[in-house]
Amino acid sequence: MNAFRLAIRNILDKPLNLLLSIILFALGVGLINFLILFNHQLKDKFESNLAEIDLVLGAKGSPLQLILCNMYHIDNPTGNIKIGDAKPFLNPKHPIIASAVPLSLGDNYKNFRIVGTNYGFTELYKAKIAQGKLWEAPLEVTIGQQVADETNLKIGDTFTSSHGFTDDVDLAHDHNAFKVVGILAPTGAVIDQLIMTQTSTIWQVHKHEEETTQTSAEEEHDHAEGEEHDHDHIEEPQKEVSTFPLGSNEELLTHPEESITSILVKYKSRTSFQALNMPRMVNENTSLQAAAPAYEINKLVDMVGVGTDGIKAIAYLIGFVSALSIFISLYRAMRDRKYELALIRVMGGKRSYIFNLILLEGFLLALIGWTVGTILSHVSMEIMAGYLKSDFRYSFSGWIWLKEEWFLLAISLFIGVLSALIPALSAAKRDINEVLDKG
Amino acid sequence: MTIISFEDVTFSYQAGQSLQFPDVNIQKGNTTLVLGQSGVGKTTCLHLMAGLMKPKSGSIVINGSSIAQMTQSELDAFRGKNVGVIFQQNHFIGALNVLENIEMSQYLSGGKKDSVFCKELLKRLDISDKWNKKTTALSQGERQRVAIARSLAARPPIILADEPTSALDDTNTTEVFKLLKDQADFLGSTLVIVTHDNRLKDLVPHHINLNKS
Repeated sequence: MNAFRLAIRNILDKPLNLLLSIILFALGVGLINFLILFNHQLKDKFESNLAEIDLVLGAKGSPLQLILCNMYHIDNPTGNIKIGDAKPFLNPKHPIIASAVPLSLGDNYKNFRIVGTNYGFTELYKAKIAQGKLWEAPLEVTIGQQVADETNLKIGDTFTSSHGFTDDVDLAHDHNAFKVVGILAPTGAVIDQLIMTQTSTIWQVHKHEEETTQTSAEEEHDHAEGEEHDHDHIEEPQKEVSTFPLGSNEELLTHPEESITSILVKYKSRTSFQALNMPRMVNENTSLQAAAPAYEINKLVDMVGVGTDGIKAIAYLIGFVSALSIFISLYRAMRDRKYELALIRVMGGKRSYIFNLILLEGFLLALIGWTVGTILSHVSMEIMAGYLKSDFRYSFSGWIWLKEEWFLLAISLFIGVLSALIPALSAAKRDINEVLDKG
Repeated sequence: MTIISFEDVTFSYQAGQSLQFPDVNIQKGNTTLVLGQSGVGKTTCLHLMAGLMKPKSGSIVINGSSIAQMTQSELDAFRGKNVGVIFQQNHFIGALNVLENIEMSQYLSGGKKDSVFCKELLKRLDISDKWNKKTTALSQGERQRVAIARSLAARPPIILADEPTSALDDTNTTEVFKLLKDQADFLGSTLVIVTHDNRLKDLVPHHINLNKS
């Protein structure tokens, strides 16, 4: 029977010892692997949503809030900005800006945000149309895949929005029905969870709201009057369409008195001197605020990282304890089995056979421990993904395989072999005469 | 033909004591007793004959090979092929059953696994129904029989037994000796028994006395 098979028989012979070693090892591996899976997907989510956006311009306030609101759509806006104030940045001839995409937020449908923007927005996330078309006329919307999945909206359906970012029937904009004209293919980025329309739609919805509250404080107001207002405001932007393409920045610039929430900026060259200086210039010299997403997100991850660092430290501690448990169990086994090891030598087994036998036992314990731990981490990631999805609409998954996991396998086996090394060496070196004399 | 010879063999323990062994000449096929009181170096003698340790000086030739010059791993391989040992205390590989323990001896000696032969040995020793039992489930007597079977499994030309009868009564002593002798004869192996048990003297014609006269 070769050393490999005997090693398997030996570890199976003591099932309780085996169980203890494996539970400890699997716990360490499982925790570390879970963190790898979670962090990787979290970083992935943040990074796919970065969408090569270099700078976000918006109202003054917290830069992190500006980023979270306008790029990740998980916080409220810092406020609105007047197009007139943002004029130079929307100018297509700006020397260092390659593209500037305006965003107008403020409404939602069933907690999915409605974003007033232009086609540049879909280009940022490289989103393709899956069904229908992109929005064209006011009140036409194109929706992300996840919106379609969860609200069951289909092309041709209409819905009314509600004000703010949480679904509230009392705050419904009753008189403007949005119409779905297209559904985007899934991208894995935040755009899957958004409802897109043109900027002027948002203005129209809100202007209508303001005017109806001005004309009558009561909720019950004249229906016909409201519709009249609608017509007024739809005509206004349509007048401009004749000169500039619909939704283009040039068209926006013809409404300097209107508001938007933010502008997503991509530089022509990230490393140019002017680009590096731009955030400071904007923050010091204009009424706007500029925030760099990469910088703010790194700051955020660093802050959150303190928590994961704590878990990591615990995982390493368990890893250390499990290595120790393999070491102790092999060392004890080696002492308990000293006669059978001596016997193997008497029957013609070489020192190398004994050495390999014990090393293989450590290797096998680590391999089984790693396998159990890896399965555990994937299953728990998948269970957690269910909660994350319902709470944050973040699509995590346990059924992914990262190359870091191979790295963890290599480290696990190394630990197994390393903890077996001392017992293996001392067993191989042991003087068999001494053992047999006392037998 | 000489199968084991000692010439001017001395051995020294790590503690510093040294032992002088009488010259030994054991002929092939001659069952031989190595006699001596406790402490005269009987076990050391057995370990030297088995190639488990090397002498300080002198020459030991076993089955035509001088073992004093061998390296440790040559010695391991040589022992596996040439010598089967039965110890006073019978130890086994706990994770394996009776048959696997016996087959292990064949594997470690570098030979082919021969389950048929192993089962035949168990049958000759009258314990063939225990082949798939763990060794811990056996009685003392059965364990000794398994140890005998194991020492024979690799068909070694020499069988060494260390005090195989010291714990037995007279009837069993004779029986165990007969068992050992029969199996050794069956394989054509030379049986050497190291013992202080005088009851065996009448059963074995060839004696080597380690006692200082």
